[in-house]
Amino acid sequence: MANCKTVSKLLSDALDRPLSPHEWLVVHAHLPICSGCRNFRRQVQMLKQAGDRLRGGRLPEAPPADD
Amino acid sequence: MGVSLDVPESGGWPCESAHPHQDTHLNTSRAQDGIHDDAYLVGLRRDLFRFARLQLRDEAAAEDAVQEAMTAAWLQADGFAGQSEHKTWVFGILRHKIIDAMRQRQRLVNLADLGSERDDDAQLDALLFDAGGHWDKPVKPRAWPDPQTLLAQRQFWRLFEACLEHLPEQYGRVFMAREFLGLEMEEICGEFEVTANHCSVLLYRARLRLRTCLSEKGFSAEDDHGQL
Ligand SMILES: [Zn+2]
Repeated sequence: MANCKTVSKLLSDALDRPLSPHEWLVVHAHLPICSGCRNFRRQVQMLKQAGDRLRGGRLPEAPPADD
Repeated sequence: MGVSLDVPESGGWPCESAHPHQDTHLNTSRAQDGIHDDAYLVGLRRDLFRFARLQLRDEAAAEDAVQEAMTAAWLQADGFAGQSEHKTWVFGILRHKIIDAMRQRQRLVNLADLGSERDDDAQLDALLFDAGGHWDKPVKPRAWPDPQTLLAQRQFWRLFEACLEHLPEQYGRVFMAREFLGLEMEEICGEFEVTANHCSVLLYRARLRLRTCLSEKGFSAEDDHGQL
């Protein structure tokens, strides 16, 4: 079985290139049994979303909701 | 280790843009939705500068890139539906200026020479993963709040900026080239003269450090079950 170190690297790679069928299987065999890797995936996806917003200058409007 | 716990509280993030206000002294025929509004322009310049400085890590080079983008923006500021559309367009110009600046100095930084970062990486791995390569239980990634909620919070952007500044320069530049400038992998490998494999490792290390830094700073939701 693949470990989290391997899977988290593949989850990062998946943001930059298509995974091979084998890699895809490794990831999808692991995710259902590992909340850490599921959360890691959502976190790195969010970092990408943050970059997209920043690139477009699309940032929170003032006044912000939280402070 | 490389992932610091310090959070500089000074400085804000672009979202703290000035409130658009009604300017009476502007020529109303050009002041469509405040594109020529002084407060808007001051806020825009500040946002552009923060973006450029993060990317280039050089105040003078950032100032140059912003000046060029602002000049181009000033010359063609008509025909936009509003500030938001204008701002997106100016950021697009800045993106090209930053890529130009990176090209001009790409040989000044040897990305292959990671030196001490290798030790930091080994330490981070030892912290995050157990002997079998699985997340060590106390630091297993936990759920963050909903992305739409998080991205709308100024606090998020402050922490994000702080964590970015703590990345080793090489990691930060590759990460930002990919996620902020939106370059494709081939372009990044070309710009930095590294192999595709090395490039993907740099991005992974940068993302791993960033999410760890942000998590340490307190991003976690109560539910840590994650979602598929
Ligand atoms: Zn895992």
